[in-house]
Amino acid sequence: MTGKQLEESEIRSLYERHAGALTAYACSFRLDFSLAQDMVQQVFFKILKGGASLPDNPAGYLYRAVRNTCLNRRRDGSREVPLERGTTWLLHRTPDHEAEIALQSALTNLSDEQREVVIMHIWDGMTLDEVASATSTSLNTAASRYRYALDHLRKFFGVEKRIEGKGEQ
Amino acid sequence: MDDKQFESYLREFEPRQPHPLPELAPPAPDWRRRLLAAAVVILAGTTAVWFAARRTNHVQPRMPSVIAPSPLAMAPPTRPRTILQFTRLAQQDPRQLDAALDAASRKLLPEFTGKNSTLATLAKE
Repeated sequence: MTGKQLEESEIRSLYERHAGALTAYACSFRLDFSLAQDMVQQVFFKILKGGASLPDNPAGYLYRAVRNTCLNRRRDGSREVPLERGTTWLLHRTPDHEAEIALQSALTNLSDEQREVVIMHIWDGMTLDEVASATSTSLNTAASRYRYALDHLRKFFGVEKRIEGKGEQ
Repeated sequence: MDDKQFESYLREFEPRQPHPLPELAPPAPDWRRRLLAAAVVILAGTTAVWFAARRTNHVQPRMPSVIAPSPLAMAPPTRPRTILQFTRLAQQDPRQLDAALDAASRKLLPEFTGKNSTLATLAKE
């Protein structure tokens, strides 16, 4: 891969910015939180040790690397946990544990591409342009995946009922 | 609920933050450098020993490989040196006894024929 070697401080800045969303992304492959955290740190350690050079837009590389690492790990079948018993990796600010579990479950039911777009855009703060660049797709494709993902989440998550229910209380 | 409202609802959730990235352990020294350093040390040691051995060969003559035996050891083993041996020789071969006594007396008795012998010194007085 052609790219550039980053300074350690730059790599640590990348970790601070993306690690939360990347770990949530790793958890969405049905890995428990501590294992997902290990997977993400493993990717960053590899970069720190000079084992990988990053492209100009590193987010796409990071998501790909985490995805591959998680899929390899999941293939081993180790420490895959059911969502109901696993720790929450998306925390509601109220907090609402039921909503947290419902959202996590809804996310795991999305396709990989749709889930990736939603996590990048909603929780990693990337624009759809940046998402398109990171996923090597066109802006239209990224926007389309995002729209479908929101529709599916609404269905899986039952958000109308949830919010209406809150309003009635 | 439109997309914007749904998005803002989703943003009420935040990813759980992982631990900070730990510090990397200091890198282990490259094994090739260690190997090179060991080779340099061995080469230097070998060269020093070789030079030292060469200098020693130039300064000192080579030592004889076999140490010369002492005159006592060169004496025929059959030649008697003690009273017991002389007694046995007298019993076994009396003809050899005189020759053995002559040989022994040359070493045991003072010299009479030399210029500085005891007899010559006494004769001057």
